[in-house]
Amino acid sequence: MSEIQKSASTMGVIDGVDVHQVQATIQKIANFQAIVQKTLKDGHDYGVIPGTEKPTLLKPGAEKILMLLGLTSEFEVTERVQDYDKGFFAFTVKCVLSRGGLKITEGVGHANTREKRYTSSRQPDPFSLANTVLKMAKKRAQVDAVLTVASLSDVFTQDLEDIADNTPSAPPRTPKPTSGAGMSDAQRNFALRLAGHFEKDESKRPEWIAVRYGVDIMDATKAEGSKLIEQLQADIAADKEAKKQEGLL
Amino acid sequence: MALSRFLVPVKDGKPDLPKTVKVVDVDLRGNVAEVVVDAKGAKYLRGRRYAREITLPRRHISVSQVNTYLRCPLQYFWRYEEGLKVPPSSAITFGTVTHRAIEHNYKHKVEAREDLPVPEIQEVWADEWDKRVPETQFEEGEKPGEVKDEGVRIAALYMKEVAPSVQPVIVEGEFDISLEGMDYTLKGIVDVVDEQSLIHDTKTSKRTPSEDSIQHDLQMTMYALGHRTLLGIEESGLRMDYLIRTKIPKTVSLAAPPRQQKDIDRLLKLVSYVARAIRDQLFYPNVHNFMCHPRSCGYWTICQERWK
Repeated sequence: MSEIQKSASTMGVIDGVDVHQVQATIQKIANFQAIVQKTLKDGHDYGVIPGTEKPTLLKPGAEKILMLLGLTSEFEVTERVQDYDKGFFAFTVKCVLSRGGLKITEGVGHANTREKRYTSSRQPDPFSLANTVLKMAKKRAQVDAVLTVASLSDVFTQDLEDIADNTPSAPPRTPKPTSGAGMSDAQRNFALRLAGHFEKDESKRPEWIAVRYGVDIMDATKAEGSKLIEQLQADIAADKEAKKQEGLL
Repeated sequence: MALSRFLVPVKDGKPDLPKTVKVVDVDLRGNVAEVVVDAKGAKYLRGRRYAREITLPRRHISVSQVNTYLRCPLQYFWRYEEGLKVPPSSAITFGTVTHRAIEHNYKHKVEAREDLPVPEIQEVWADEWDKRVPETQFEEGEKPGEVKDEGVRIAALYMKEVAPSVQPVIVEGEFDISLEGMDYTLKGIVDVVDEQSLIHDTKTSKRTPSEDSIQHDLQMTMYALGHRTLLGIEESGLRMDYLIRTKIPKTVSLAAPPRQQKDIDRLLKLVSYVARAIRDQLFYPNVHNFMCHPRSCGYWTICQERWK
């Protein structure tokens, strides 16, 4: 096809568009983006990688968006390298999103054991990593598909953790402790022991916390865990003060 | 597959290695290369002393490793690279045993919310001491029995003057912090964290410490970092309880406010530099350290004989 013919067909497509409908669709997209931003939790569903502006969509967030849209995902490994002699493993995965059996869109993701994150010696040997990189490729494909289907590319970005991995090694610098998204075991144990100030029966403490503070310690985020600990500490201090006033302590 | 790292010379832009050694990864650094080899290759290289092995514990670096390196890089080498252990002095054993006895009380108190009877803690102290006496190096004229009596008295003093004010929540809490951009973690154990997130440490000493000694204590900064990482909140403060081994023993408690972020940043920078120095095999004696003395350093003889 010549260049003139190409631009003529592009114009044809634009000519056939109902502008009012486009405006309504764009408004719907904006509304959906707002809902997503409100619903997803920072640090759990998405996170901001230091040095970047846009938040990165994480797997839990991608799964929630799929649920919001009523979409199902199917995966296909489109490329695989499994070199057991050299210990090199690579996978490219395609994620197809569909609703009611109708394909909506697809995304792709790739991961391999030569990525910097997998070559540090803190990681196990490449043979143990084959499954990990397969899962990583699957996750990347899913996030890619979700960002496309939900028109969220201007809200979130793809896994920027990968970009951070591929930056050249820097001279010694001040590292920062990394933190997980969910309430840690240490936080959970600490909170349960603090609750022991009020509830002597260990087995009843999770429920006691849920009733008093409205926090499910098995499903809380790290930030909620920190807040819970601070609330418990404040209540213990107040309780001690009250007992002191009463002459009990 | 176990992987090991070696520093090898470079020839024509490639690591100069026997053909039998399979290289998994190479990092060229001028006229040397850091190579990663499998267990078979490592065995070959070790057996022939062909290359210098990089033995930094890449998986983690501990608070005590950092402290040892800062005290004396060569002492770190003997202790952690060569794996040489020297018998502890009686002062070290005294501190360890006191620590164990206090830990025994606090582990009980976490749930029971009351201290154990003083005689029980004294008994724990005495039993621990008896276990450790055979491996302890005593100074000339020092009598283990007398030191034991002193320890039992000091345990009672701690239980009377310090323990009642502490309601522990974490006792001997291990932390293992992943550091962004680093391929190892920082490991440590915080003695005690109480209900109000006050971090406690106990030390035994023959001299009364200076008032400000807690302000710049590196270990306490590491505990603060551990607390923040484990619990996601700032500690409420730091407290160091000294048991002073004077004729009439006494306790001295020093307190400090929470560490500032700049203290934590400085610590992390220090840890990363120590780790790099270890990786680059920089081991030398810290001759200006007051402990670089035959009476204070258990590695003195080895050091004089082997570091030439």
